[in-house]
Amino acid sequence: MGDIGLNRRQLLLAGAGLLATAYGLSGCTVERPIDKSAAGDVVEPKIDGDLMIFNWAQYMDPSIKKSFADKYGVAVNEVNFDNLEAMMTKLRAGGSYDLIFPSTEYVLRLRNEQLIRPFNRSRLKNADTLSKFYDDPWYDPNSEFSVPYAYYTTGIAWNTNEVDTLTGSWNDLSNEQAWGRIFMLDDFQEGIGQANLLNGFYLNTDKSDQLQTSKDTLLDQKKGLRGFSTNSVQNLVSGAAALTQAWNGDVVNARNQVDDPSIFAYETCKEGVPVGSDLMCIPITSKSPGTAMMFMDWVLKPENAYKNVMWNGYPMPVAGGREAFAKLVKDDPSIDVNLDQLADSAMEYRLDSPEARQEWTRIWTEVKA
Amino acid sequence: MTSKRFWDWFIFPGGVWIALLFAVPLCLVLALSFGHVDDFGRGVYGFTLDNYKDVFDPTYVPVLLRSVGYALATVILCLLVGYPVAYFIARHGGRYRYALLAALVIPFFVNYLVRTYAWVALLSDQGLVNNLLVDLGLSQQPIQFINTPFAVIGGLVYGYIIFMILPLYGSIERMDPSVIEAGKDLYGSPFRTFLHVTLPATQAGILAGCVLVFLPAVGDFVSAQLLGGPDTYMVGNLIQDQFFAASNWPFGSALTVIMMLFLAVWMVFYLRRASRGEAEVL
Amino acid sequence: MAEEAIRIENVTKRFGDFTAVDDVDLSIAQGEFFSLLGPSGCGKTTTLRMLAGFEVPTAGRILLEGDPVEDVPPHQRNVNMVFQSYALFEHLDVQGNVAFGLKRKKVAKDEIVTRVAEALELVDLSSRAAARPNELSGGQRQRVALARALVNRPRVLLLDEPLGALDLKLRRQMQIELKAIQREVGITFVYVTHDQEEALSMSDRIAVMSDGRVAQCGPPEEIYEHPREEFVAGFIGVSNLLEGKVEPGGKVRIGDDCLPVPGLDGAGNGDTIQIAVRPEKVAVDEIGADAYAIEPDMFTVEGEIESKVYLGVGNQLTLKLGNGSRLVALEQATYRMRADEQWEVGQKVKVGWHPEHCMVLS
Repeated sequence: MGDIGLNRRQLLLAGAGLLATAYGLSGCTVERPIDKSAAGDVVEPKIDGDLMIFNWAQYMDPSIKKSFADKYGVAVNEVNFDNLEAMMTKLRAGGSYDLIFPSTEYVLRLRNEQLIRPFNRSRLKNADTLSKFYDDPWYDPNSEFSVPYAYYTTGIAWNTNEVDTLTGSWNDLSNEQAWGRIFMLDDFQEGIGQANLLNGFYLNTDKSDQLQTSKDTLLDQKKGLRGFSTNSVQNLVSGAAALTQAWNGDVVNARNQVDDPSIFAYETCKEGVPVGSDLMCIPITSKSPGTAMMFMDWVLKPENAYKNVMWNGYPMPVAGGREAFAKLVKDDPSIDVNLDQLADSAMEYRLDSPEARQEWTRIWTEVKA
Repeated sequence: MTSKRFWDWFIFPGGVWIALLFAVPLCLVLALSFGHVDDFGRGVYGFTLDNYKDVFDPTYVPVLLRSVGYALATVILCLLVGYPVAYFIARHGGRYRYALLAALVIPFFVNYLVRTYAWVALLSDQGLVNNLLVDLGLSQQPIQFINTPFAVIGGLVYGYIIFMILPLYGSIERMDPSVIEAGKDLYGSPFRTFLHVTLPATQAGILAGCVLVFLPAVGDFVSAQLLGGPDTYMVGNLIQDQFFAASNWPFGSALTVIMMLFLAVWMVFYLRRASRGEAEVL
Repeated sequence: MAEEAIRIENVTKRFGDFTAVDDVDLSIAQGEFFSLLGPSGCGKTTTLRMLAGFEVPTAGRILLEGDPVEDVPPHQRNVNMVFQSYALFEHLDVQGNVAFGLKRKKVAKDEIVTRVAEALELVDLSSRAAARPNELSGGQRQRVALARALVNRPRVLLLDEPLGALDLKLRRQMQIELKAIQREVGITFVYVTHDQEEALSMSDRIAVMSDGRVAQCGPPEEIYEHPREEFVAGFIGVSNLLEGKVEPGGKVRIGDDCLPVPGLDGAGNGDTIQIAVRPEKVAVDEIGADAYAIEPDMFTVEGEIESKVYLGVGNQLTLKLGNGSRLVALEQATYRMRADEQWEVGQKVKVGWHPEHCMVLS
């Protein structure tokens, strides 16, 4: 026990070893390169093996997987990720999955890194009723690599028993009645984005002076916050939040968990309504891309879309999904958003340059610190 | 001699295991901390000190100070709560001593995250504790426990107190009980005896407990994430966000390296104290 | 008797169902070296701990120089203790250990320095004043414990088997030193031990304890020469126990032999009693030869040597008497004989002892 220190020679040796390691690695990315030979091949729908889905937890009705498995005689397995960055890491490391559910920005990143495969969209029987919003989108020109799964708007949810002075503006995140019991989404884009909208800036601005102004707005808003959290359902239901920035689907979920659903209201704000979408893509590492494409079509089938929306509370921009969500929100149209009227990709989060992305994350860290 | 050589070979499986699963990742983190982010948001190895410059950016200083402050508060509370518990079990536990210890240790087999969630459920505005307070008329309306620094520190105390209790138990149990009697016999009141005899006699356990609690507490992110508010951001949260939200692995690595260096200082301090103590006993 | 330092009146101590000390009455004089002697579990340590204040009597009173103290906590009693494990404070050096009690009593700083120096001088440890306890030998640690207690000038010093952890040689040496120190400081010592030799050699008086009560209390000679019961006779030294019937004329019949025993006052004719003879009081001679060890007024019987153990300073012989009972004789080697050549196993011998060396046990 007495000799716990390294002697000088051992230290020098260790240092030299580290230097050598660093030199050998210089210029390499964290992950080793993976086989991308399948990058150009266009996937056609056909049953070519069992299915491995890589998705958020609790994001798909299990009965849809089961009915597909029963119909086609393949196994449908699912594993979950905690966040999209973790999903990226797995894919870069060569993890083999057949179907993933990235957001718009991540579709672009996956595409740029050649981590996903194109597929023949015209062979999807149930894609005809998809919203026009998703035709030829900015993140996937010609819609070669993705079809939409679900979408969400970002707005403000509140408890009507406690707050009744809403103004339909992002300023409501500083509502005095709710002061001290307000939550902001713990997401750098949602946080900075609403501040940009409030200040009249472009949602995805990369102008430093504008971002500084928005940072000040955020620091002001922070004074009235009880916390940063993406767990809006729990915050609303537990009573911790009197008011919270929220995704519309979470409001539906929160309502499902209380006796009187009318206590939770939701508004979209006049300065702008950010829209987010999750899409379905087939990774380059997929072993059963044909089955994956068959499954995509299965999910988009109207009766399955209907079931799925009723199950998870998030709207799907496809026949069946639309009807289901309309039913869920028939007393509160604010929760629904007509994508085709919106038709404005300026309300989607997209940070095209790595520099802008870094600046946004830095500002967000500074706000939270 | 031969047989000693023979047995020496048995260190290899464990050595390889540690090298592969501990030393190599550590080296990679160190190497990546000098890297940068490419256009795809991937970490790329390289030779820049920018990440280290960023670590000492004034923005992050409050985060570092806050983490150390919370960890110190956690250590003090763990000591104040843990000492009487350990003392009672060691000296008055009798034949129930191991049952009591097991009762303390078993909850810690449950995942820390799950246990912290349990705290959220207990302390939330409409949780068990608040309902009880309101029902008993002790409070007009629910008290806001969670989303405060106190909740974060409380979570840390709950999360790591066993690392305080076990070494304290060990040192109190090992202590010759007659030294306490000697202290009283030599005109020490119970309090003076505790201060001048029991406390110094168990200082090895106190030191071990403090270090064992401080090290994980200062790097914790779960408690602040689940129980914290807008002003409880700790260095663990900062690191976690660099890896999973900001996709800036090199900066996250640099933060990790600085953090480990800081903790290593404490560790070395502790090991030196501990080894000196051991040498004295031998 | 000199002035009384401690009086223990009808003290009983129970732990649950177990009675550790059972109605004990003792009086200890000022300046006395008093030993509590007995096997483990006899109640001697509990008695000592009640004197120190670590245990409160279930019943009875304890008077320290006339004042009842049974409810006074240990830190307010003017007695000090030397623990069996020494219980030194490992985080303090020797001086710190010795000064501990004076500091707690808030004695002036310079007085502490002087008294600590004196105490260390007394136990011959002045040169190790700055040493840590873990740097000391067992004997040195023992002395620190002694100095740490004596420096407070207590009314009574309590010692709980203080030499138990030392090896035999050191133990002998410390016995002498302890006794010398006690004479020098003149403080009353209450000394707990299970070692009868230690108790005999050091004490002014001894209380032999058994099963929580005092079996016999008196000066060492009295305890040794006149044990009043089998337990005391057996515990203090080795004794030959013989059972017999009381006969008229102050005699006891053991088998065929009838031997005169003094001090049979209490016993009636025909009673069965036990008598004891110390091995060193038994003389052995060859049959037919001139009397060498046996003196004329001894009671004698015949026997046979059953075994012989060579002890260096003498022989320990086990003798089988004509009536079947066995006796142990301890024959001291002297300048007149050599211990190793004297006897053979199986040899017929004459055995004798003075009647006054027979001890009647109740």
